[in-house]
Amino acid sequence: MEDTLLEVRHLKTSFLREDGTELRAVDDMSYTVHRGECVAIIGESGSGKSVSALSILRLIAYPPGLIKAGEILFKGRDLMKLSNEEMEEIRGKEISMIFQEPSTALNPVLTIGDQITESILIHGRVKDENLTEEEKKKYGSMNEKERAYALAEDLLAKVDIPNPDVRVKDYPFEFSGGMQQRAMIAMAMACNPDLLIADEPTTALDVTVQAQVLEQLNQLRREYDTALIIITHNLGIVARYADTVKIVYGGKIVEEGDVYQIFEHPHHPYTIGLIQAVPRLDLPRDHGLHTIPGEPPDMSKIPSNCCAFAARCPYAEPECSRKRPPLVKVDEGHFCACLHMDKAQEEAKEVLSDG
Amino acid sequence: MGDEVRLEENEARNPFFSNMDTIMNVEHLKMYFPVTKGLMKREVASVKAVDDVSFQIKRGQTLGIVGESGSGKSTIGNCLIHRIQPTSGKIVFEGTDLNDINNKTKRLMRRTVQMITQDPFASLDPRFTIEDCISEGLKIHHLISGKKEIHEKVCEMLEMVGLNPEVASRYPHEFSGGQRQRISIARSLALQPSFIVCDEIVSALDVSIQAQIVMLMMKLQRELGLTYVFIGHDLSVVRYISHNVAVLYLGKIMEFTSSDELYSHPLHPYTKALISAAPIPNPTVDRARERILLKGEIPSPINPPKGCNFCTRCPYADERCRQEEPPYKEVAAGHWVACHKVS
Repeated sequence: MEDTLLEVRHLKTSFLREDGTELRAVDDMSYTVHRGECVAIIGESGSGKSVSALSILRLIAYPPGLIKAGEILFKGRDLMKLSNEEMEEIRGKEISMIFQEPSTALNPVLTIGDQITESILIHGRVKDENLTEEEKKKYGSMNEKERAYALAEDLLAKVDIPNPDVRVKDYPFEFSGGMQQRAMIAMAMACNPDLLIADEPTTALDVTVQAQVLEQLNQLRREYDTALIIITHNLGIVARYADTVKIVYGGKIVEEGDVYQIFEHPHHPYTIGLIQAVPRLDLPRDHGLHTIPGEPPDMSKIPSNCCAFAARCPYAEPECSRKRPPLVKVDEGHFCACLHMDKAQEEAKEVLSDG
Repeated sequence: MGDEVRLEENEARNPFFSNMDTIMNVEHLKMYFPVTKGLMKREVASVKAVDDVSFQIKRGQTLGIVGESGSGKSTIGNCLIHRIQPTSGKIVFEGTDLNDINNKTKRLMRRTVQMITQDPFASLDPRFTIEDCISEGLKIHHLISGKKEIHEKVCEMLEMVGLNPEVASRYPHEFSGGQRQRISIARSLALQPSFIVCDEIVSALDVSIQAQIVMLMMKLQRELGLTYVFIGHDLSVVRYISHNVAVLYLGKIMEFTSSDELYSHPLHPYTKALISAAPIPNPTVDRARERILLKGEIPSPINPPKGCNFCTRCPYADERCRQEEPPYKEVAAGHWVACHKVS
């Protein structure tokens, strides 16, 4: 866990609108991902959580998007300084991504096998020098294309697709939503990446299928020692799988810490409100549910030098809309950006303890 | 923080408050959709979307229906509001059998029974102002006449759902998902319904907004004595708002019980798996829980498995489950289960 894999420093990504205004989707975000770690980024829609992940892979289209500032150090190399060709080497091989909607992320006119083997062949995953001893024994006698397909079948088998030798020739529409997402996982894991970014990987799936897919993703991740950034708004998933958590609001990280610190000793009023806004199955039905008043903010309307949550915060004071609260250390590895967190935390203690 | 509501304060919401009459009684409801083939639209099979479902809904309470996609939960909702005519079975609403309903009572029913749907972006006409949206039903049902009276009513409804009455002249595209869902609620409430089918109304919303809408629906229920059928796939949300919960799988009710029993004493293996699959937002609690992972996915309702519908994914299924359909029986007061393994 000590081994730093990715370091995002002061990342700023904006979208320039036609009317000349600037939408600061990611506003000075910094975080670190260690090898093999599972980092969860929690935020509401429009909070900039997906954009921050897309920025890592430099998948922000310009115009209108623009990574304005920041460093993305991956294994010590700044991805921002790489050429497009060098970036292509990294995408899919060292960092890969799983998208929310598998039905739109997969190409409908190519078979599942074609799509999985594409990145295998591009990145030379089955070239002699890249095979493990075990794989050499298995695939040694085949040509490169045959090896790629054999590997694709093995990957599909790993994610529990029945009859992978037949299914590898299927088109995406022949797969159910859960199977499509599993094929996406197989594709993402094809080149043993060091970092996997999963953007709302199970939002479109049924609950029981969601549990299967996440469990598989987690197992594979452990097997290959891959770090995972999971972007979601489902607090339950985070509580189940994450090691560390970043809470994002209005393009900024408002609180970060390990999963126990965040869920059991939340400091930021937004984190506290979010945790209390989710009904708990394990508590009696009449446990209190709290609401955060108001709506997520319009990102183009919040200035950079204020607390984005001020408009919805019960503890907000005039200074909150004048000054951007810095991330302050509250415990080992636990940081919170709020000017009134002591007050918030005191009240939260009462509420959380009777829950 | 926010408006906290303690449920026990309100006796009328207690699920064990027995002195309550039944607003809707559903008996052996079946809804089969034909699968046709060829030029002559020859019927080759049928989709058994709802297959022999019976339950009762008490006045002023909420019945939650949970199930995966394809389990038939929305079809039940559509049958209850009489949007589609069921293949067979009986739905009695306020003493009236919906099978032999005349046009006059049908019109009345269209007013007293309302539905709110999942997608707040599709359910509001983009060319209507908010006032047009909310007042359309009022005009159709001749509830109020006069421009001024209608405007006042619209403002009243908007206030009731927590919106500023000044928004009446604006168009739906100016609102966020949560606000649109509030407008849909206001539109339904304008007709003074007694029974509302809520079909996945919070699924498309952000977490903090979900809680707002759930709390709003509960507040309205207390104030107006409404009866809800709350359809959803998120067990924790459905359980929170409902007095009783029906767990649906492939068109059949697997388990029906009060919402507190559902978590404390689930009996059906499918219910147990659903509870286990829904992660609890607390790492200490969740990581200590027993994990039941189901294999496979929900089978096609065109060709449901023989015997128990759940036998293909059930970890306890044996030969009997694969041959014989389990009866839907009451194992404790108000707790119904369809499983051979539960005695």
